[in-house]
Amino acid sequence: MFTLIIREIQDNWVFFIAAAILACAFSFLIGWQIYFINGMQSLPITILLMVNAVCGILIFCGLGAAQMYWDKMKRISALLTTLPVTRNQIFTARIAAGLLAVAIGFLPTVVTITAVSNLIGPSSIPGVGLVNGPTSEVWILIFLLCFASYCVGLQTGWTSNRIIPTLGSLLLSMILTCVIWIKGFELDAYLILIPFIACCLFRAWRTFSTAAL
Amino acid sequence: MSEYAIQTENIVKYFDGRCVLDGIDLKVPQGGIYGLLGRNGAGKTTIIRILLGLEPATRGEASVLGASSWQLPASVLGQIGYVAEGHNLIPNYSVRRIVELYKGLSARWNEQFFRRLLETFRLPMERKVSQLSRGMRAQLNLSLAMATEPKLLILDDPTLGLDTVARRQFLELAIELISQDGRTILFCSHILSDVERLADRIGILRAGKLVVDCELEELKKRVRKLRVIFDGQPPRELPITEIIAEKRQGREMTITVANWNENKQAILNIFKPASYTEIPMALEEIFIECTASGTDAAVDYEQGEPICSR
Amino acid sequence: MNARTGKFINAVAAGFIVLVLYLLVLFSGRYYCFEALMEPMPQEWKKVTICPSGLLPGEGSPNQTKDILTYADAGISNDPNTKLSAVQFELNDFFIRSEAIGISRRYMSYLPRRQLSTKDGFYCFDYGDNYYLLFNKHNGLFVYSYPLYPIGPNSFSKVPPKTLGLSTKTIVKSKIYFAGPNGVSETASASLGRFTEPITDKMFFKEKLGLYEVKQRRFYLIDFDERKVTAGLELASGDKREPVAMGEGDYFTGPGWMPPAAKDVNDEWKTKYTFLSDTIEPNERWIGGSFDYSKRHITVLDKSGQIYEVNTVDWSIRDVGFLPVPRSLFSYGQQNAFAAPRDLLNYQITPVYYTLIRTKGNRSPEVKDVKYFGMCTSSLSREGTALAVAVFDPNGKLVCRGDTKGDGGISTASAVYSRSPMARTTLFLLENLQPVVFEIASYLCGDRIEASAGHRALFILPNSFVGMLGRYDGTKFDREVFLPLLMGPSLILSVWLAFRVRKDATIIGLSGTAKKWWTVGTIAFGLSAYITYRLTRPKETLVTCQNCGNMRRPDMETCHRCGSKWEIPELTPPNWRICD
Repeated sequence: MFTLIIREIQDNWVFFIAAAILACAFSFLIGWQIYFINGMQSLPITILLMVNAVCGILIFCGLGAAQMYWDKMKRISALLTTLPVTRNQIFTARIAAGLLAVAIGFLPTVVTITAVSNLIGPSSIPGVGLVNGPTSEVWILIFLLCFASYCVGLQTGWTSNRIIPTLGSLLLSMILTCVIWIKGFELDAYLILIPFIACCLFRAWRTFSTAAL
Repeated sequence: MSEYAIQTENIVKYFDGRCVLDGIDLKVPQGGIYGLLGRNGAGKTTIIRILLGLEPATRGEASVLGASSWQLPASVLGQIGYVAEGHNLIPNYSVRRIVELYKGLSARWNEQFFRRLLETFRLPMERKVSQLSRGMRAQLNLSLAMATEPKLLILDDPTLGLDTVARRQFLELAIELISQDGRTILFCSHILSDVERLADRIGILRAGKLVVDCELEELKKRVRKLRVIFDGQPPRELPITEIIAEKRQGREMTITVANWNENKQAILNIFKPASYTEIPMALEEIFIECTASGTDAAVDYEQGEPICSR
Repeated sequence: MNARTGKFINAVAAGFIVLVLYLLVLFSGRYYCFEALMEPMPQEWKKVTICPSGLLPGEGSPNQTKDILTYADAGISNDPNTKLSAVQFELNDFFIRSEAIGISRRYMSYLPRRQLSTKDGFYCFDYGDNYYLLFNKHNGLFVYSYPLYPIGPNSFSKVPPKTLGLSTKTIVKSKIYFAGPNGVSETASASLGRFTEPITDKMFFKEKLGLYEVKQRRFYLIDFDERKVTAGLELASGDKREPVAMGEGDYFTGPGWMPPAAKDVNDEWKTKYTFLSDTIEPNERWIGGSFDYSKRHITVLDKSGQIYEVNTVDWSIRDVGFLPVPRSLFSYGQQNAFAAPRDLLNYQITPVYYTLIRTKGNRSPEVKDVKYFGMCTSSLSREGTALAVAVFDPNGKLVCRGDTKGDGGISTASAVYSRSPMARTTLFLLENLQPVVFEIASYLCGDRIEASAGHRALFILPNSFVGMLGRYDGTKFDREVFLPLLMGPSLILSVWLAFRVRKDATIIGLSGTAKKWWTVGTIAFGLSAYITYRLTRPKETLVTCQNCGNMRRPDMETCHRCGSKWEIPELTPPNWRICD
């Protein structure tokens, strides 16, 4: 399994580098915004978070689509399944690589902002941490949204047509961002995104496991 | 454990409404080499892909080493080596990377044997697969498949693209491999001399059916090609069943018959031929006779029209 | 997992994905249609002016200079010198975008001094300099902190040094108190008890705090100056009252203003505002506002929409008003009916108090007298298209009521749909693309969804035409006659698509059970089900059956039309075999 995950990372290194750049760039921008400019004032941070989320969606949606598209075009799984590797293992490794990419894209930013916020937080109020800043529910939902867009990419990528995985997955991912716009960061958004992710993963798994390689 | 390494039951496969396999019942016993033959488009590669779980059958069941083909567990996949037609390796990977991938994923890996093969074939490790010649890709593919010490080796036209020397090397390797106990090879090739040299059993695909499935020696015994000379005109229709092919030229009639036996001999004798001689056939000739005509119509070459369809 | 189960789960999964994306697209379309309907609404339609209301001494006076105030979006005037001449409310449709839509709600919660969600465990106002009051959900105590400024050796003052004319470069130390049901202390000890679910006012003045503890059904008054907690009225278990909000801030807002001088008061009101002529000390003054600074009276909003006043001296309760029911497209808002706060997109409660304040040098101002003059309330309808205003006298009796109106005196709830026929028609058609099962649910139980959540709803739409029809206050017969008319396009589309699905399912040989489920599913879920069917239907290429001539599936043993077995004429295998 480790070998398969490493293979996925090596094959799609561009997206992992992009995720790392995303993390570094937004860690710096949001941290700088909080520490030096506006404290925890929300509008600039909200804008930066939204831009962060949109960039993340583009990258991870592209990753999912690319993984499946190139597999089909280069017949990678056709080769791998002749080794002692099942389709389920290939798919699991693919998802693990995708999760890792999303984690690389966001965890450093979350850690940086938490650290910076604690530095400038309203220390006069005991026990109150991030009074006005992005809380854990915001990060979790952005993470889920990016992972959902990755799953959308997985679904649309299994095709020999170049246009469908590119434009189709982007369009569907952009539509999906409306969940955050409409529902905000409340329970309703979780209740939509989590089953959505589960359904996308199931469909992608089923397509992959029943397709001719 | 089943006595058969490969077993299929009524495999049917359609591609876009076109039937390629129409009820294939294939049994490949453990140990030995099975040569699967057929013309282009007969369905050999399709059967192999179904056996390896790369392609779902439209209907029917297949099993390999006791496990269902469509859900082969990793433990069974680790016992299978496969050389694909066209040598499907990831084009943008370097040879080294492919080797590392195989090493990392294989259940067994014989490094010494692999090194020997690499030296024999002189494969460049740093070159990308897409930059290798067809023959080099074939050599790499063979080396990778054999280094995993598979219990079942499936070779789909493995020597395609190999020069004569490389082909000979491969054959020797294959012989070395089968000399190890319990190994089974399923071998598809258009170079029938190689198949004849290696195979114990032969299967021939035609019109979606497995029309031949027996040992090689048995096949040679059961298929007879006779040149029969009559005093006068040869009879319009010989009431001998299982005529594979029939050719007439003047008083001479050449028939190829399956499952030749005493009954058929007796029927021939009724027509009092002036003489008949058996023409010995190598596997290649048998194959050509068995697969020659798509409509299986006997042709009168003098009249230029079909005499009967079988 | 067997093949049949796998196919079923696959269809359900695909259906959910398609449904979510489909509904998101529909929501976006409906949102922009609604914007297009609200945008052209003239300003005069949005205002409700009640003059005279009996609440303001300057009403109708020619010496008054300014109208205004109170908006249905809880904005207030900060100018204490504003001279009010009328009660006026304005429908602010920006509220719908800012408060109802999810991302905006989150953004609005970040605004400075905004109360945090109680699910964070804290809510507080923070004025900086260690001056705050918060409720810590984890230990169940209120925490009050204020700064002390040194004004001499060993002498400190609560009043900021700027007010006393001192240099601002002073060292601040803070005092912290913890308050529980059993008392106030400088340490957070268990003996103070624990509040579990308090509803409190929004703490503009922090020294006194009125609250209602939901679990105990009891009112409390915390006085940090006196360091005491008074346990007050306990609502009996049979008492149907359920307070949901109280005090000051957010929904309880209004301006603070300086009442006019006696000479500026209208003759008609002089008898009412005699106190303005009374002699007061130089350091005393009357101010107008929407709460009792002394906390002797606290306004409480009930779950039913009833508003009552709790007297924290004798712990008596009296009714002082209610939230009026605004108009809707299909309902008319009865005069004396209460509107529950959960059924309103927004509401505002503005009691009118006049308070006599005495300033005490370096101490906090002291309240000498308070007079209550009545209240005005406003309710913004669930759909956000109509505002109702009610004015109550000091005894809680409804004095008058007003509603937003369009041309010809028609309620804005109806008039809003007349401004843009294109937007109205598009909205109607988009609502008809909503799955039938959700439309019926909107009709039957749309009103069970909280008003603001209704604007974020994806599945059940309480603000759709069908949802509004469900709240029609006419006869059931009328409702059920209109329902098919409103749902007509949706029903026609669903049935037609179901017919197509059934026909295709027959051609491709789905089983009877599968055909039945797909047909029912398409009728229930409409276009989204049809899209799901097209995505998940078997993609076998059909071949012609030699027996019946229909198209049949090659992956089946027999023809699903005539039951005949396979014959493949294009393959003519030989009649000989050489097998073991």
